[in-house]
Amino acid sequence: MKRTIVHADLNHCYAQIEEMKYPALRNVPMAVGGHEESRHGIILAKNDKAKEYGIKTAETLRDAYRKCPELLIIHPNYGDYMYYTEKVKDIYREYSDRVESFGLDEAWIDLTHTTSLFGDPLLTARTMQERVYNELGLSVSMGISFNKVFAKLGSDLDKRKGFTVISEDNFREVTEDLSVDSLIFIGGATTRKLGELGITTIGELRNADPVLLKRRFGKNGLLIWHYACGHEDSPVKRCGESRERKSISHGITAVRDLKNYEDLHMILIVLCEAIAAKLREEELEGQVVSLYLRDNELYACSMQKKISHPTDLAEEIVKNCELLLKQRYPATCFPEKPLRSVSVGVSSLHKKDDLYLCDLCGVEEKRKRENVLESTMEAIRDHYGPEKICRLAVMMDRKLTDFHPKEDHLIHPESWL
Amino acid sequence: MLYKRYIPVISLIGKEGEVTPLFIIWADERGTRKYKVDRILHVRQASSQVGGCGVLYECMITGKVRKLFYERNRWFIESTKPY
Repeated sequence: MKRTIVHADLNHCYAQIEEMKYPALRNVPMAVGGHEESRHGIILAKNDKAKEYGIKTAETLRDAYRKCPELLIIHPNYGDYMYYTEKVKDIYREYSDRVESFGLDEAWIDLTHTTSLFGDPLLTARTMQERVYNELGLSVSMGISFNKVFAKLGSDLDKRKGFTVISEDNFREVTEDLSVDSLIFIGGATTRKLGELGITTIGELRNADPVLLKRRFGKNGLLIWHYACGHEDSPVKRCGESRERKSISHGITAVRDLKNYEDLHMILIVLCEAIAAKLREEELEGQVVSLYLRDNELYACSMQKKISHPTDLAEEIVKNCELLLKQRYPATCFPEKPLRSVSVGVSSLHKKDDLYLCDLCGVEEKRKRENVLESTMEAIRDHYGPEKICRLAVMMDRKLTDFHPKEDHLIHPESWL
Repeated sequence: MLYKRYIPVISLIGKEGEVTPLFIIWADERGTRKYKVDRILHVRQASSQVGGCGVLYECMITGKVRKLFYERNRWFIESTKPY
């Protein structure tokens, strides 16, 4: 049966919600951005007036002010964004039991089986769009297609309350000359590599040799070829069905530059403890540890390693981060330039089980004890507050380590696969 | 020109959780007074031209139609007076 999938995208979400709350903001260049004082100074979303000045999402506030000195910066109100975006999705959920969120501001809605209840799916989609506008004062762009990939592509084509239909009859025509990076899952690096093969448009990707793509990009090469040909057929998840977690990570832009390994070590402890707590909370263990560093000139590097056994212990994650650093910077365990931000991630996750191989050296016993220790510390923090118990190393500089990744990070980016 | 004015409202919460505004409390240079909500004409989810959105109660208050919004956990009215 032919499917009807809608992708709905709340245009410049954070900025639009602020404009809805305070309509006067529509008349001035405005952007939602972090706090420059705490060095979280990047643009998270901007309104149309700010866009006219060439202000881009993710650029620093300093660069943005340079382009537009009168730019008004609003600090993010995440509670409001979560509340209103959920209200938007509540409207979608009145029409289908298959509504899959993709981040706060985007969702796929499967209207395939709604015809007998609500009539023509295209009209239903229009009704949803109008209701969001009238009831919540927010405009959403919609893409309607026969699969999730083209629905998403459609919603990106017209950002001003657009309504783009990409059908099985016209998808070739519509996508032929679009740049490959308009397809989901194709980012900057893949675009560049495809460019080297002479592939810049979706039409060219469709006509490319899948064998060659597979050789160049592995299984993902084949995947993007299928996307371009319209073969994608993954289902829209049911309401309440969560996406399976692929990784857990936490990062921080420190209040001051990190000058040496001791500084970095303190930050690593706080981040890894938060990751380990999350792993234990979800009864998961991870086997790949990755570390991402960015220096004060914004040069970034990342490294990762697979560890011998899956873990949910902060101590082991920190130790593996140290090993990564030792490998990369044998002399000092620290890069040449001071660091501005750090993040740690654990991936290759699976459900924790209590089975383990025959333990000859008493390692398991030690790990069990460590687990009890970390769980107890976490319980104390949950009950009495995060500052009530911490490792001594963290107390060397309280200003630097006074952040709580577990509570601060409410909104996480989502990955497609 | 209309303005968004948050105001105190005396309301009744029914046993099914439905909220009904009974009186609005209005403060201006002449003091603070209580006005009865005479009749509720419509109740629907809506966005307001003065900003924000919520449950809109279109009410008759002292012979005039007023737009009273229940926004998350508080009330505002579309007012012709800024303060």
